[in-house]
Amino acid sequence: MRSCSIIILNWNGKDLLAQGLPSVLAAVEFAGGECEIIVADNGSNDGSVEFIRRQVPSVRLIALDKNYGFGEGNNRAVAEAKGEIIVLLNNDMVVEKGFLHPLLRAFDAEDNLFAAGCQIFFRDQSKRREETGKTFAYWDKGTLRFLHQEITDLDYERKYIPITWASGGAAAFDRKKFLALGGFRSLYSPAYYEDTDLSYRAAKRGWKILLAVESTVYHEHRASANKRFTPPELQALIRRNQFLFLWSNISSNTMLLEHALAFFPRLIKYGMRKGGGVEWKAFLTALPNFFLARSFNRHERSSSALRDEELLKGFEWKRVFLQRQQRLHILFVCPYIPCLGVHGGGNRMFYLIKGLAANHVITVLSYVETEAEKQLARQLQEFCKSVILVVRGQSLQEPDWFHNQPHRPVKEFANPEMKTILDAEVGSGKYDLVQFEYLEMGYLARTVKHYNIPMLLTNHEVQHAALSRHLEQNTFSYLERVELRYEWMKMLRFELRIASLFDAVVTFTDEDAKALNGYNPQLPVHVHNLGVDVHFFSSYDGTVKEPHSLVFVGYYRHYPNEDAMVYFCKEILPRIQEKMPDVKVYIVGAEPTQSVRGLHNGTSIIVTGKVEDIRPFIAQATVYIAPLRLGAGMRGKILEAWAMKKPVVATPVAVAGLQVYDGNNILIADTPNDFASQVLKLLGDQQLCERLGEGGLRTAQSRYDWQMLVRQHQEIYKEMFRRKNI
Amino acid sequence: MRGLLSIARWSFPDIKKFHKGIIVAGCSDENAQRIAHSCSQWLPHVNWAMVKRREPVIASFTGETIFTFHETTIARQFALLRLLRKEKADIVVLTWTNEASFGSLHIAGLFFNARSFIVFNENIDAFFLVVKNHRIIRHHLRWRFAGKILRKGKRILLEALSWMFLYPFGVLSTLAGTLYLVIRKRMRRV
Repeated sequence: MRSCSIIILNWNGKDLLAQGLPSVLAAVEFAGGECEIIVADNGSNDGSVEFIRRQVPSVRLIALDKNYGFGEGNNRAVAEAKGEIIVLLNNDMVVEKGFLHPLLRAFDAEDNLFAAGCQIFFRDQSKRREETGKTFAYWDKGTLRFLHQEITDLDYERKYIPITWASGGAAAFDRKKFLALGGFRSLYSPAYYEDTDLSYRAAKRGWKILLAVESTVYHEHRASANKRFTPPELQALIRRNQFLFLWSNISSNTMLLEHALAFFPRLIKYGMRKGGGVEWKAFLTALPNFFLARSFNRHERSSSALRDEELLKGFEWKRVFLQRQQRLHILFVCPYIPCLGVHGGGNRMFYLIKGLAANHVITVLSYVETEAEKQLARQLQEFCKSVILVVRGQSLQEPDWFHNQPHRPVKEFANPEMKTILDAEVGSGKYDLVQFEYLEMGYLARTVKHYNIPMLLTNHEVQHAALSRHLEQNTFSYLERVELRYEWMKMLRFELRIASLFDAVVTFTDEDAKALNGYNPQLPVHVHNLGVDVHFFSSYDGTVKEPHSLVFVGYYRHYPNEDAMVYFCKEILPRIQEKMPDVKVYIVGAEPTQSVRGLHNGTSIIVTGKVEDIRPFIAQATVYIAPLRLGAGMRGKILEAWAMKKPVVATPVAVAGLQVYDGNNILIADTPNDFASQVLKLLGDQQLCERLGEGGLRTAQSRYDWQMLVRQHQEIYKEMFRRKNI
Repeated sequence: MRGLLSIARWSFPDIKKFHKGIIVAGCSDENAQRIAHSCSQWLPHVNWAMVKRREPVIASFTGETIFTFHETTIARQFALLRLLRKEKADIVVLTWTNEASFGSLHIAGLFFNARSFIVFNENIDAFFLVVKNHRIIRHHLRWRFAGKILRKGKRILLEALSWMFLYPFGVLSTLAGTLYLVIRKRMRRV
């Protein structure tokens, strides 16, 4: 273990020292090794010096002649310290016995480590925990935001996590590096932001700063500062030093320009509020030091190895650690609750989350349409860390002043409550990556883009491609055609713009991938198949109970499914009934629309609505039909039929992205005549049905089983991190 | 008198003469259910149809359901509105409940060719939309917009201005942007 010096800076804090020093002495004794304790007194007049000399003679005292402030006081003490590692503590800190080991171990374990911070608790446990030590600063539209983030279970597991700055009142520093940087700057005198400034300059040189989660201290919080300044004065001082920090550390011309443009409007905006005088006071007191601050910046440029953008635009600093992590903390953002038995998208999300939860920690943030739907979350709670639900409501939430955004994502899914929760969750620093499901939720990625966290979008259906197909397949009046074409243009631009925000975009079919990459080859699109729980479906008794029966399963609020059934019953079924009048069609699935319900006649066409288990309906039928003409993306319904060894007749649109061999595992038909004749062929040939069923099951098992697909999905995460240099 | 002119009537309409009614369900499914139930109780001799924004179906409502605003294009919505005007209903029920965002359905019903209009609120209180009820109507509107009229009015004004002045730029930007994407794609293929 390296030698260390614990430095406690004091100003008129005799009582605080009396509380804190014994804990420091106990910690040093517990740690063993070479460790000196130094109290640097900043010209106290409350008897602190005499107290130290008499009560704790083992402590080395540096009695300064006056109050040099936080920065200079510590600089002088560090200059006289002997240890390789210096631990700076405020005089109002009480430390745990084992706080030193994790700090010193960090310097042995990590190359190029500049500082290791302690985890901070308030002594008064009833106070809201404003400081944790897990610090994070990011650039936000021309200004800097500084915050302390929540410590999570995963942080305890990892023990050391990267932070933006180590607190000057509870952290260990490499003495050599500290002195090489010139210590704390007097620019910030009397206090605040010297530690942030020091850490930032160190980070720019490529040195690391970590939080040692297991090193715990208890803080009285502004015990000395409150004696000297009133709350408004403290506020003004903090704000002033934030200006000085920005002016003296930011070298990026783009960021400086952004700051200059945003500066005065912000100053006026905050200055006009109640208590806004603080903002003006801060600016006016910082202004005289503007040129001095910029001169510091010019001085540092030659030693900088990293750019401001890399350090301040979100979670870039996590890169060092994520590459080593096997277990990730993932946030799923979903437009519908991932659950079984409602629609294919929900099934897909459910199985993927369940599979990933075996190796990673998953949190789900999802819309629900009504309060009653919240009970569906019970399925997820068994394996997710937490499930956060937001009732979407019917509101049109987002203004579209130029009226050139597609309606659905912008108007129906941009709920302000969801945005607030998403921003808070991602900003807390708990997650290693965020996965957005559906384009509608991908739109919300703009809210958290500035955190620069790895983000993935699953585009279940490339909507401009689906719209294009809709235009080709159906007849419209001239006005409708113009309007739909304009909607297609809006959707195309929107979809490409949203997709470019992500580090990976997943589609289910090659056609969908081409639809995106055709317009932007730079998009990181991955094709990832849908899956099916083969065991769940194949274990059900698939004996046909109703000969000459057909079945289709779908969610009818999804228009392609509604269109498929109307098309089938109007165009194809009459052709089948000519040859086989007793054929029966079961239309199974949730929320049948008016046009689908209108097809029900109780004899040849049965509309069942939502059922608890679709397997009996698939099992009892002879043939599974998929007469889809519209939409995009891959169809989970065919996989379910394959898993149940049912022969399938489908249109080319329905089999997009699937590994199909016409005549081997499926029969494909494009026109109504072809479709009818294929269905009749199967209804009259039991052997062909069995052969196709076997072929379908083999395909499902070899290519679409969820276990295999979850592993492939994790490879996409790895590829994503590689792309972000993580 | 039909349509908006019927609002100018001083007296209440004779409800015994009503045969055909349309409920414009610009509200949540729960409220639509309650209002539909109330209508069928109060006017059992009327054949009711319902105009809804979307699924699901109101289980207890046995009349015809028309999804006007389920249509994706404005052109089709207007086409259906024209068709609905041909229905010539005797009574149109407007649902002015406290749920936001059904704005177009709140007022679309006013353009139907009805003999009379009746308004239901979320408490399932109802009043005829006639001049004789001007005090009730004023009270309702004041209650509905209490404290919100300035905010809503400002929003409506901004929306109207954006349609007049910003929409053309939006169209130009969309057309130009799409042209650029398509040309770039074609050139890449070449």
